[in-house]
Amino acid sequence: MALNTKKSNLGLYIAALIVVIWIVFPIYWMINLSVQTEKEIYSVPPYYIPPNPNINNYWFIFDIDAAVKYFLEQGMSLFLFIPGSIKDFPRAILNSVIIAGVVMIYNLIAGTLGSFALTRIRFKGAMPLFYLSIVGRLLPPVVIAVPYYVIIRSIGLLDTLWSVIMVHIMFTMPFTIWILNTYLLGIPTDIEDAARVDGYSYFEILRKITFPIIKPAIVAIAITSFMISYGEFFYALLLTKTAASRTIPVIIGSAMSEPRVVKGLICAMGVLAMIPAMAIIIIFRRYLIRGLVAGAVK
Amino acid sequence: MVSKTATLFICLIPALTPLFLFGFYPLTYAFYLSFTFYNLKTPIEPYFYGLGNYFALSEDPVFIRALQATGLFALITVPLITLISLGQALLLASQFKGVKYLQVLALLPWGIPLVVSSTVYRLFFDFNFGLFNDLMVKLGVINQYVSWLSMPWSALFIVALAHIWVNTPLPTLLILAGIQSIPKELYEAAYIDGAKTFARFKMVTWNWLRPIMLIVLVYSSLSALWCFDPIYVITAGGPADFTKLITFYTYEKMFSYLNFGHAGAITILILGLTGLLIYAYFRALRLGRVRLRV
Repeated sequence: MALNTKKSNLGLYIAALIVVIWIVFPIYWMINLSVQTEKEIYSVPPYYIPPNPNINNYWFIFDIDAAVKYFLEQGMSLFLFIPGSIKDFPRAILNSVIIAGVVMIYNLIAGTLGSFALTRIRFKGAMPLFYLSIVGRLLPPVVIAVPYYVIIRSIGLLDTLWSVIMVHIMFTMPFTIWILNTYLLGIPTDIEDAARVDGYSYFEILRKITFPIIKPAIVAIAITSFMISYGEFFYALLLTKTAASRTIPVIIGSAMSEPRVVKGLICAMGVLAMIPAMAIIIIFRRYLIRGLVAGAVK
Repeated sequence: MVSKTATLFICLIPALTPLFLFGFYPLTYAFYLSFTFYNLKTPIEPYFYGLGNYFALSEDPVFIRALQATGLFALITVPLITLISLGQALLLASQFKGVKYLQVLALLPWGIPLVVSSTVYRLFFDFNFGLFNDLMVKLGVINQYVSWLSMPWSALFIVALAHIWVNTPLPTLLILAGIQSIPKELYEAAYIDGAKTFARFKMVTWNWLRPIMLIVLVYSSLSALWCFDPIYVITAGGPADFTKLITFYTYEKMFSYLNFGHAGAITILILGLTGLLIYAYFRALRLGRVRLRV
C-alpha cells in the first residue's frame, strides 16, 4: 500500500519471514528427507539437517534392483517394503510429460482460436457459448467421474493416455477460454477493424495482429494448463491401471497409501515431481503474473 | 478467403468439442445413472430405479457423515484461504527490499502437485518420526508424542493444511493484481479526509477488492467441495470416517462398492450444492454493495 512508509518496515519483514517459512519449509523438508538414509529418517528425534547427505534414493528410483539389494543388506529390522509401483516411475515421468504436453498444445491452439472467434467475430450465440464454457469451469470434476469412467470403459480406452488427456482438456479448456476472453476484451479492436476493412481474412488478422498482442496471456494459459494436467490426481487414478498410463501423482499417491513404505524413495520422487513445475514458474514468472492477472481481474 | 461461417466453425469446433463431448454429455449420463440401479457387485442388470438411489443415500449414515465432513472442511479452509491470501497479497503489494523475489516465491506451491504436498504434511505429522511432535515437545506444549493423524479434529486440520498450502497462491495472485489496480488517488482522498489506516483499508481496499473476493470465495469453496488428493494420501477418510469428504466417498462408492447408481446420485447432489453455493455468494456480495465513484 502506497502510504505505508518506513514506520511499519520491521513488521513487514517479520511478515515476509513468516511467508518465506510457510512456503519454503515444506519444500525444504521433502528435500531434507530425500537425502537421508532410511535409518536416519526413522530416527527419533528427526534430523533437521541431513547428517550425511547422499543421493542414493534418487539413484534407487531408477534402479529398483539396487534398491532391493541395498535394503536387504540393511536388514529387515524396519519391516519396510518397497512399493512395486516405484519401478514404473521413469515411465510415469514420460507419461506425465506426454499428457501434460498434449493438453498444453491443444489448449494453446484450440483456446486461441476459440476465444478469438468468441470475441472478435460477431455472431449470434457468442455469449451463450461463452457462458456454457464458464459452466464447464464450474462443473465439479467428480460429477462426470462416474459417467466418464463408464463411457471410457465401454469404448475400451481405459488405461490409455488418451482417456486422461481428453478429460484434462475438458477441464482446462474453460479456464483457458475465460482468461483469453477477458484479456482479448480488454484490448481495443481498432487495428483489427482496420485490417478487416483492408480485406484481411480472420486468420491473417489472428496471425499477424491479435496473436502478438495476446502472447503473454497465451503463455500464461499454456503454463496453467500444463500445470493443472501435470498435478491432476483424481482422474489419473480412476482411469489408469498399469505402468503404461500411470502418471507421477498416481505413483506417489498409491505408494503413500500403502503401509510402512520406504519414505526416502517417496520423498525423492516428490522432489523430482516438484522440480519441473517450480522451474516453469520461476522461468515464466513475468508472463504468469502479467497474463493471468490481467486476464482474470478485468 | 474463407467465409465467415467456415471460419467460425474452424475456430470453435476444436475448443468446444471436448467441452460438450467429455463434459456435458457425461453430465446427462450422470443424471441417467442416478435414476438407474447399476451395481456391478450384483448379477442384476441395470434397470430404471426412479429415486431409489437418492432414498438409499438419505438413509446412509456414512453419506450424512460425508456431507458434514465436507461442510466442516469448507468452514475451515474457505476462511483460511481467503484470509491468508489477502494477508499475503497485502504484504506482496507493499514496498520493501526483495518483494519481487517474494512474489515469485509465494507462487511456488501452486506448481507442486497436491499429492506431493499431502505427502510432506503427512510426514510432518507422523507419530514417531514426524517433525511436529518433536517441535511440540521441545517447545513444551505436549509432554509426550501424540498421534495427530488418529484424532479426528487434528486429522481434519492436517488435511486442510495440505489443501490450503497448495491453494493459496492463485487467490494471492488475483488479490495482488486487484490491489495494484487501485488508483492512488483513492488513498490520498481517504487520507485527506482523515481516515485511519484501518478505515482506509475498509473503505478503499476492501470495496475495490469486493468482486475479486467473490472470485476467491467461489474458487476456495469449490476447491473444498472437490478436495480429494489429501484425503487419499493422508487419512483415507479416517479416523472413523471423520475426514471422509464427499469426493472421497464417491470414489469409494465407485471403486470399492462398484455401485455406479449411488455414485451417480451423489454427483448430482454435488452439482446441486455447487450451483447453490455460487448463487448464494452472488446474492450475498451483490446485496448492500457500496458503490465507489472513481
